[in-house]
Amino acid sequence: MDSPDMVGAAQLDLLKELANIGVGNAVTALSVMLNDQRINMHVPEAKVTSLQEVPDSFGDPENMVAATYCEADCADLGLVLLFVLPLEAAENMVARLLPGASQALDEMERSLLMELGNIITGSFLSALSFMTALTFSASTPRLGIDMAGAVLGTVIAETKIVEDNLILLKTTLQVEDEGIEGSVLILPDSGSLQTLLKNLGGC
Amino acid sequence: MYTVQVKIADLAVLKEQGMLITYGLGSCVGIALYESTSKIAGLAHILLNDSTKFIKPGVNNYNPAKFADTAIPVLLHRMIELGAHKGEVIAKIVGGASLFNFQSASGGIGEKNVEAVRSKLAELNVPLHAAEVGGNYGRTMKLLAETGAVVITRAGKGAMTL
Repeated sequence: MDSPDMVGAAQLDLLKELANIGVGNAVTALSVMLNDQRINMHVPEAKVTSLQEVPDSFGDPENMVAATYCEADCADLGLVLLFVLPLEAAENMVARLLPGASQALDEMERSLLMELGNIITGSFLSALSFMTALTFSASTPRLGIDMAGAVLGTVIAETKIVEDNLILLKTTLQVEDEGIEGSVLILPDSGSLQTLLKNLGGC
Repeated sequence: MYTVQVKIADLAVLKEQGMLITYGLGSCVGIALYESTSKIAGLAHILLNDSTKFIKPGVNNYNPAKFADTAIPVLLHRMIELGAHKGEVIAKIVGGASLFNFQSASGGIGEKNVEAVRSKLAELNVPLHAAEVGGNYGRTMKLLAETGAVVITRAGKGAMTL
């Protein structure tokens, strides 16, 4: 696919660094929750992608995932943050945090996953606020457990992302020895990209 | 079987043979149109209800397949170009679910999508023969060009046919 001229390589690098620091902060918070469990974090990917490819961001669009998302904004600047766990990883995570939890992901387990998403997105945003000197307000996180394609399609619809091409920041993290791998996905509103980059002090 | 995948905000048509498939409809709606005499099938996967509310000139290029109000006329037109008789085209719709645990302030997108699809079909005099919409789960949808059958699958459940 042609990468449209909406963002240059240097700007993508800056966004990647932003994701790196933000998710790094989130991973630290997660590690504390897991009794200082070691968590590996991959180098963030930043790319311009067509809207139609977003539902395939986690491989097969029919793979089951548990995803929490929230919308954050500050004046004209908007971001969508998602924390996505494959269903099995979500079950392992719940079992780890809540011994004796039900495998079926009932109300208690769902509430725990939502809280986890809240911590991840909250710590990402506090790092972002620190870097940009902007104060973000975030929506209450919402949890969906379904096919990856359906979940991502619904997030796009709910957040009314109608651009043909989007900037997608994806960072994968792994909890060592626990069979838990998840991703933090950030979709900055393309209209607010310049504000974001300006406040990061670059470009 | 010859298979054409319809992605999100996308549409495609087929004649006589093969299958159109769209994966993971959440709040999105899959619109299957079919004309049985010529065996012409069309499938659209729309994201939002109303193009007039979302088009921002110069910011997003105009892709008619994104919206209920613009996708259906384009899909119908593509089928007529292939030889479908407009008066014989029927519709089956799937999706429009609410996957997330509580509604955003703006209300259910899935419901709005279904409503917009129904009203556009009515406006174009395309009869709605079947609908599997709403609920809180995602669906994958296939449309067979040979028969016009719509096969729906959801995670962990058996298939159902409309």
